[in-house]
Amino acid sequence: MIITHIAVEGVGRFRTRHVVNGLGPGLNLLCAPNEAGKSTVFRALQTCLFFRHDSNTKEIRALACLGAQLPAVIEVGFTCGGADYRVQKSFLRSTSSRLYKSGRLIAEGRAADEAVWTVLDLDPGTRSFEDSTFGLLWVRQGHSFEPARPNAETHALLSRAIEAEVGQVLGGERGERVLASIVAQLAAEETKKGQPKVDGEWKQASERVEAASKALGSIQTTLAALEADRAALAAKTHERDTLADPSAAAEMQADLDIALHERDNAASLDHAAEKAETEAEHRALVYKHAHDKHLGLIALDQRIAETRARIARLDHQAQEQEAVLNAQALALDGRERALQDLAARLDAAERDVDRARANEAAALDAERVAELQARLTQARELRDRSGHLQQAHALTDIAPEALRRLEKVEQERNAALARREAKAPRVAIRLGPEGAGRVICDGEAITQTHERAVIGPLHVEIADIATIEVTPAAAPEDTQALDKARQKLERELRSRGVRSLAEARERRAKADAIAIEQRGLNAELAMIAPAGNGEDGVLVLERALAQAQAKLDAFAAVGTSDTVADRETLASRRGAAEKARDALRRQHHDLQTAALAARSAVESEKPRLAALRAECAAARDRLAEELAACPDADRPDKLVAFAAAAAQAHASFDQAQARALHLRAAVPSAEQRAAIEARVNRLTRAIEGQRVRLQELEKEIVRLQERIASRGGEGLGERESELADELALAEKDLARVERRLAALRLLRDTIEDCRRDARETFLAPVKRAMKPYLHAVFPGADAELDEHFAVGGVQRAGPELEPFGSLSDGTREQIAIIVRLAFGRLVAERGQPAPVVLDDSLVFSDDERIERMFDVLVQAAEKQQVIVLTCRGRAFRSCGGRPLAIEPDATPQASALQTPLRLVGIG
Amino acid sequence: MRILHTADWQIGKPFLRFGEKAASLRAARLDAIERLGRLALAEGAAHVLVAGDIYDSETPSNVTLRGPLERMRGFTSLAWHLLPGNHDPHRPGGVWERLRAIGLPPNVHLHLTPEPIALDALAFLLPVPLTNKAETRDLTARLAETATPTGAIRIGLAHGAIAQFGTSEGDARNAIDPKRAEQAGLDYLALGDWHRTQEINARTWYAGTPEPDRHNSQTAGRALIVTIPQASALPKVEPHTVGTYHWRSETLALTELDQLAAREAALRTEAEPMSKLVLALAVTGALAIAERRGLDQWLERLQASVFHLDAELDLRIRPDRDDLEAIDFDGVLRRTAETLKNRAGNDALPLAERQAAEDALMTLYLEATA
Repeated sequence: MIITHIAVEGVGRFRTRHVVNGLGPGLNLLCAPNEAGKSTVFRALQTCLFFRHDSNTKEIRALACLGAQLPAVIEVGFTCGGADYRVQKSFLRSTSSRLYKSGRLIAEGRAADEAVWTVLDLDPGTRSFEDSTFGLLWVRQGHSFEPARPNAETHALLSRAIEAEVGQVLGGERGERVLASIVAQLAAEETKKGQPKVDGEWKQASERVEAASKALGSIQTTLAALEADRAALAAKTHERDTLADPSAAAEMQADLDIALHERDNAASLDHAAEKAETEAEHRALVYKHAHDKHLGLIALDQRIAETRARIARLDHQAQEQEAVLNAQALALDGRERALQDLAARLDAAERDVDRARANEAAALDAERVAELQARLTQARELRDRSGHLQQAHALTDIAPEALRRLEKVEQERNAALARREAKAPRVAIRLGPEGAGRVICDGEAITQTHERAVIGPLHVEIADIATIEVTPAAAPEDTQALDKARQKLERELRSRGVRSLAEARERRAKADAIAIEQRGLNAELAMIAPAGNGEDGVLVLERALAQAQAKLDAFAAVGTSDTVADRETLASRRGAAEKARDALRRQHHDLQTAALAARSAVESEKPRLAALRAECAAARDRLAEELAACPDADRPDKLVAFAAAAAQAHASFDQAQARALHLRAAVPSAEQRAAIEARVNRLTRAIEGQRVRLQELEKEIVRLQERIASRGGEGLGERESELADELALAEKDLARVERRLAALRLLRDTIEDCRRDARETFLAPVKRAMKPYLHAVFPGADAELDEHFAVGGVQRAGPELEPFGSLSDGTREQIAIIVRLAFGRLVAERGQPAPVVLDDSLVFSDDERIERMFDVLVQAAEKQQVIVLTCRGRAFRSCGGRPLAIEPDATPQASALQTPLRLVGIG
Repeated sequence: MRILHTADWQIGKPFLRFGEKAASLRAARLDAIERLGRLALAEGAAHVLVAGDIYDSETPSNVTLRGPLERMRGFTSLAWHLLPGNHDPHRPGGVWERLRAIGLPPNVHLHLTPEPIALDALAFLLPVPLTNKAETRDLTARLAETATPTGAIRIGLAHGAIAQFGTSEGDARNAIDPKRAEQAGLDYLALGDWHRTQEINARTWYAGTPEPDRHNSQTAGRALIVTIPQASALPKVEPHTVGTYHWRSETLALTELDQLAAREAALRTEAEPMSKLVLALAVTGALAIAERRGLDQWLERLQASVFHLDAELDLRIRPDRDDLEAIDFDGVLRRTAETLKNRAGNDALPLAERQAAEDALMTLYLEATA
């Protein structure tokens, strides 16, 4: 298809007919400024070729002239298949459509609309520019940088063009449909992770298998329980029958009777043996008694002889001891008498010492009385003086708080005064050489330079020259504050009884001095008359003096005092008396020790003699007792008789013991009796246990029978068979589904593998068509396409693929146009050339790139018609190509639509 | 003495794999009892000996339990002798105690102990009931010691598998000596367990099931009319068909579709009526894909003709040039078809993978030509 002219009337800004003439093969360049109507012409071209003339869409309404009730008339001339065509359509008003071929009208109305599409080889039903190849090759203003996205129809068209060259590589629409169907079938059955999908046949089959398996397992468990019950019932029935066997029970009872008899017999034999053993033990006791009696008599005989010898020996020892005792008694008597004399002398010496000590103590007491009297006098004086100081301190002292209060009030007065003075005028009087004393200021003669603040009326007299009165400006607040502070100070001073703060401070100092002095007197008084237990020290001293005096008076009343001698003499006398006494004490002690030793010796000999005499008496008593029990005359006969009795008892014991042993030997052993007892117990328990067990078994059998009967009626066996069949069916169904899915997966994977292999082959023609254009702008670059012809990215400097979205606007625009040109070239080479129309494209290209793009456009124009609409006349100056213009058209064609024409057939 | 010998009714078998047709098969088994009764009456047999496996399981539902009783109740002039088998052994609390508990018709006799019973003045029945599913002893051995009056006809009734017979049919655990009839002086030994009618020797027979329940056993259900003229005389045994459904197993080795028509014609002749045919058809061979579709259509028609068709297809897909061109002349689909064809024909691959490739190829064909 080659567009030859485009005419518009009543379209956009073109009220009258305007035409773009001179369009032809190769590159066509329409340069016009903004709002010249380029895009209007572009939209008119689309509308004329692809819209029905009686459509009233938003796009068509947008073509109308503003403010003019005109039909939108568009005419497009083109060549296709070697024939010249002209299509004229009137939209919105007076709608019409006509198609001319080689100057002859061949279709009119809706037939003309559809005839155009037939000529352009558009599929029937394709009613949208966007759906056609032209939608891919005609780039509207502002869309040039968008990647080419072929829709399904365009994709199919491109695929057909490619497959015409490389053969049917991808399988075409059928391949797409089969793969989509397979994928859809799989998607209905499994998730992306290959798991069964809810509501899918696979999932349902799996769930049926699981449910049937679970139900079968459950019923088999129940059947196993039933089987176990049956086995238990059989076992218990057998056990009951065995236990209930009367012959076995009788045999067990007979065994028990035998065991009981054996046990009774053994007990009887044991009893007889025990009786004989008791008799033997009695005989043994009798023998032992007779034997002991005989041995006792022999021992008595020996003891009597020994006692007699002992008595003789003790008598002799007692006589010797008595002689020694008499000699010691004589010596002791002499020492006792000497000791009595010495004791009398010692008593006299002790009394002398006592008298000397009493005299010396009386002298000490007298000294004590004198000393206490002196201290008491001094203490009383100190106490009086301290009392005086206390009174003086009370009269003088001002409390520290009162003093601080005065200081604070005076500071307030001084502060008020300072404020008043600060605001008051200052008067400075500087005397001249003759002026000393001649100036009187407030009655005071000034002798030197004087300066003061005037806070009240000031009278200055200068000799008799003049009187100056200075009155400060009124400052009532400050004056009032100062008066108030002064009054407050005066009240405080009066209340403290002082005239000034200095006097107060002086009184405070004086009171402190009195207090210090008083503390000194009190300390001295405490030393002389220390207080005791909270009692005043003077009173303590007075009481001590009274006690000392009383003691002295008491000693004088005795009348033994030696008031003549002094304390030293008295001490000397006491020492001499003590010395004499101590000498006598030592003599008395020595003599007393000797007497005690002699007395001790005598006393120690006396018990020994008494013991000998007592021992001898005891021996005689014992001998008398033994002789009384068995006199010497009877003992020989008794010894013979006792020996005979012991021999007889021994023989009797031997006989009884032999009988007991004989009987014991006949008794069964302990082990045998324990075995018999165990057998009795075992058989007794077994018979009882059997009875209890039988009762239990009957109950258990009844219970099992009831349970089995109950389960038997549930049809478990039938249900198990049903479930087994159900499971088998479900498993078979699942296997069928899984086999089908395995086939689908294999088919899908195989198709996709083949598609991957075919893609490179398939895309080769597109890349080949694109390569010269791409290299013209981006030398050595390669573009990545997928099987849907979408540009994934560009590979330029290195192996890295630059994603299309990451490229700059200019580069994306250039690549997008190159891809479209390549598609157009591919279609054109297959004999279906379609114009490429670029409306206001390459707006993002720099100078260098745009030059290269011009080369690409020229290259592309060799294969197909390229129409470039642009407002950038200067930039496109070097583009070359056929220059076009939109010009008013006054030719008769302007009214051609109103001319009735004859219709002819297409082709 | 004339008796009807039958066995292996297995009432209560669910037949669930037959879907909605299962009820018909279950009903046919009960109906077979009435046909047995009518046969006995027609042949003048006063006693019907059922040699075990009256029920399919030990724990049938109460309705299932009563079903045979109600069928037998109506034949008041016949004596029905029931013997426990390995499917329904006599065990405590089992099916037979339940039967006794619910009450038996007077013409139905249970043989739960190996006690001889007089059928009439000159004939004695010697039953050998099973008391568990898998008896390891040959219980029929006691028949040799079971005494009957001199000159009486001795008829054994047992359930189990003839041992050392060179066949695996039935349950070999309940073994029976094939010479038992001779050893025990039996005039006839009526056996149950095998579902097909089988003569072991002149005095020993398996009656087979009156209504088959499986393929490869017995095509039609049968029962035996046994005539014993007198003690020690050889019995006369006459098999009679009593079953409703025919169970056939067929194999079909296909090389071309033309074989189907001939096979169908033969089947229609041999298995009339087709509506009562339970057919198991194993199809082997290799077909082109288009032919395979023809086979499917033939099978659909066959399935509509018979009572039930269980087709087991072990067919290889051998796509020819037309098949591949039907998929596509070129392009991805054609390459896919070629790949799958090669994979299906690659004997180095496991069978499952080759099968999957054939299935995928078939799916591709159906999708591409849809």
